[in-house]
Amino acid sequence: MIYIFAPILAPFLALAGTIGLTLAIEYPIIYCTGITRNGRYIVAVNALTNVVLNAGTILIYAISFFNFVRSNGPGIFMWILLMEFAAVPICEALLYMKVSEASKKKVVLVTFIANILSFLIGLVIVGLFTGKGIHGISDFFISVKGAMRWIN
Amino acid sequence: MDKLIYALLDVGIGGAVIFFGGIAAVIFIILAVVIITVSVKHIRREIKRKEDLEKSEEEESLEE
Repeated sequence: MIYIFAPILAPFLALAGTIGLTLAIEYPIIYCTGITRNGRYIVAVNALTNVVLNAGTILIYAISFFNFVRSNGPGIFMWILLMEFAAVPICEALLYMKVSEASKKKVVLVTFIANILSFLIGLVIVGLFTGKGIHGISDFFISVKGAMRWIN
Repeated sequence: MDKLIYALLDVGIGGAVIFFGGIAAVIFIILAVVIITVSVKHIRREIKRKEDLEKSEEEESLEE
């Protein structure tokens, strides 16, 4: 029975898990620093960026599965780096600026810090699942270094 | 005969994996589209509400 329900439940659990984790870390930071007190807005922004990030990651995995490119390892790391350290914080900051009374500098700074924190904690949790614990963070960045060499 | 049975089992299991994997992919795509649509709608509504609030505050201060 589990083989029937697992593929149906997996997408729900995956999205709920990643969005839930992001909100658990970013919501208190955005709310308590006064960037915006609109809880639903914070949830909507984070859900949007999270789903786009996850969809892109799965697409890159799928491309690798069908062997459209020689190796997708560097692709996934580059995608994650680009999204987590640039695209997602910038998009979230721009969206928060639309509704926030705070200064633009504060919005950008707090958004970047919140995103980096949620990324690092996410790495630790993935590390726990893969049995690598806190070394998940260093493993990720070692792989990034490897990916950089591939690009060069 | 044994080889045929094993070949059919392989096809069946492979087919099941692709079938169930396909279901997971379809459900994920549907969920992603729903979440993105609802989120964008809500974000637009909140931005519009904020802009309307600012406009009405400006008009009030002009009247005064």
